[in-house]
Amino acid sequence: MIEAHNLSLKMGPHCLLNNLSLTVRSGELLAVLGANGAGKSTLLKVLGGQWPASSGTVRMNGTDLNAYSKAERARFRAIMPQSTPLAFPFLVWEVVALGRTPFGFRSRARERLQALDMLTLTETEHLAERRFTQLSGGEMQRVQLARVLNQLLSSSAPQKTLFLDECTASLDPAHQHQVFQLVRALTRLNVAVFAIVHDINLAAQYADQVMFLKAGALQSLGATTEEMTPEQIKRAFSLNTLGLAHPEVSRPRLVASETPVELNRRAQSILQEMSTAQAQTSPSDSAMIAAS
Amino acid sequence: MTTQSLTALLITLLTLAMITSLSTGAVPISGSDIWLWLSRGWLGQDTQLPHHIQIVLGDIRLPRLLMGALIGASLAMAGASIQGLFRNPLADPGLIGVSSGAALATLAVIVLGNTLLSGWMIRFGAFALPLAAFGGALAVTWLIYWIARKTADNRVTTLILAGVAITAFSGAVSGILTYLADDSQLRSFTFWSMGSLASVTWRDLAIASPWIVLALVLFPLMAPALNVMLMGDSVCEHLGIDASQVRRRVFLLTALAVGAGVSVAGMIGFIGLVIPHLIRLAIGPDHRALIPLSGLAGAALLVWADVFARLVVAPAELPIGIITSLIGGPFFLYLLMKQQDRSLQHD
Repeated sequence: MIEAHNLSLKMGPHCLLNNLSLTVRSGELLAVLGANGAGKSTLLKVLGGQWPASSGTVRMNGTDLNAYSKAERARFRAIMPQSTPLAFPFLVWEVVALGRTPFGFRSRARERLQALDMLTLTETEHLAERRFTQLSGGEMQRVQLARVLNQLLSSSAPQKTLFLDECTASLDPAHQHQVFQLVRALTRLNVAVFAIVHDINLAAQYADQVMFLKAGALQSLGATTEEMTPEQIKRAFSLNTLGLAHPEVSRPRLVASETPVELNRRAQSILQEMSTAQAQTSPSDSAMIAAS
Repeated sequence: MTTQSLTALLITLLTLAMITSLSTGAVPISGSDIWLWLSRGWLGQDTQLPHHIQIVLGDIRLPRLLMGALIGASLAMAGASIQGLFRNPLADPGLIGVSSGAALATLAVIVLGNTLLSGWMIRFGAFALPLAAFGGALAVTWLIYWIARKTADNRVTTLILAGVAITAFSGAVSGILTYLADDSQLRSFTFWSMGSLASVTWRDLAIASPWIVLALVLFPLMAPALNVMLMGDSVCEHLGIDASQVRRRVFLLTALAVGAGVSVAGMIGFIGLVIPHLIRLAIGPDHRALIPLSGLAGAALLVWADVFARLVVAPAELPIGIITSLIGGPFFLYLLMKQQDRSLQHD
């Protein structure tokens, strides 16, 4: 369970986070949305304890975050970063086994068995004996998710928290849904999930709450069914959408409108010039094709 | 190759190297004499062995053998840890300034020992050179670490750049000292910088081995943290490990172990770079196996190299640093070309 109260983070003259408050209860999935640079990842770093806030408090499971040591935090919360650089040729299951680090080590055979279970959860068990460095970007991301799950599920803490930072960014559509179905299954195990999501419809389909951030400040926070609206999307991203209803479940659906984004004038004029120039040269091109 | 079979192979190689090292040299000693001496003589019991053989084994070959094994193990373990710390399989203990600091201090003592530093020479006598080398190694390493800490983020890139700058600077100061040196001083520095175990005594062993043994015991304890370090500082934090603390400890251990080794045996190149690389090719990058096995392999390689140093131009001796670089250089190039994409950045 995460409770943040009046969080602010200032760096020099810049206010990266401005007076944010939020609560994610156990078993709940909060999706955080916002334009690039809105402060989503910064908020995750502050809630995860990596960066200290300038003011405000973060409580995890009812206790102030700063009261836990780094090692203690790692035993009840796991964080999936946007990308994980790893240039050394570990086997895939060995990477997953590293997720157990906060809980000490066991025999290689037992670590491998547990890693294989985690790989099965992210549908990557067939990669177990491959070198991590040989995988594609999407496969790497799913293997790293298995490592994060290994950390989270090794924990015997009654209240666990999972942070996801755009964990579906390089996955194909089926695996994007597979990951979120898995995350939903985790919430049924009483895990609290804080997920930064870029895909509006993934958030609409799976999140209990959505939070829109704009320039480090709260734009809106509330139940997905109420807050996931074309008005909020317009404010957060300057993106024009139309609201639909999901045909099967009572979940919002949003589609981009015919002209979703207003191109700025300068870009429009550059494109105009280019198409005029092409119109002037194309007759000779077609003449050459005809001649050949 | 499995970890178990590699361990067995390396232990065999090390044992063979040790026996060969005791029996080979200007006075050949048979295996049975060595066994007799090892089983009884060194405990002070009478072995009926000729006196000169007891002297050669006890006062010359054994300290030399032990020093070689300890230095080889510490260089290789330090190399494995530094490569993990910098997330770069081509990193080397020299990267954190140990060697350049030791070289600078040694050169200073050799060149200025009769003038500016005569007080140092008088106070420490025969210990002056090893103490200076050890102190220089620690001081330059600490300076690099301190500068990197002062900058905005205490990250790998800053450390490497600070290391490059400080190494270049101490190289320049060494250059000035070289310019001031006379022929015999230059000669003794050149031999020091090529490394040698030829004159190792029990006293040298007593100076250097406590630090080295301490590091050999503590390096393997860093393994779980170093594994996680390979995924970057943030993942380290996520898994509850303090990245700065790991860096501090690995720095300190490397400076102690390598500094102590360099101070008694001079510069011995390539072991810290090649050995961890080889072991990683055989069993993968898990530091829990990589660090201890690198230690075994480093010890075996350096003892073998010492045997060759004695044999190649007998009765004279080659500096051991020449042997390690002579074998290590071409072998490393061969590995690079053969395993280009498997062993380096992208598997």
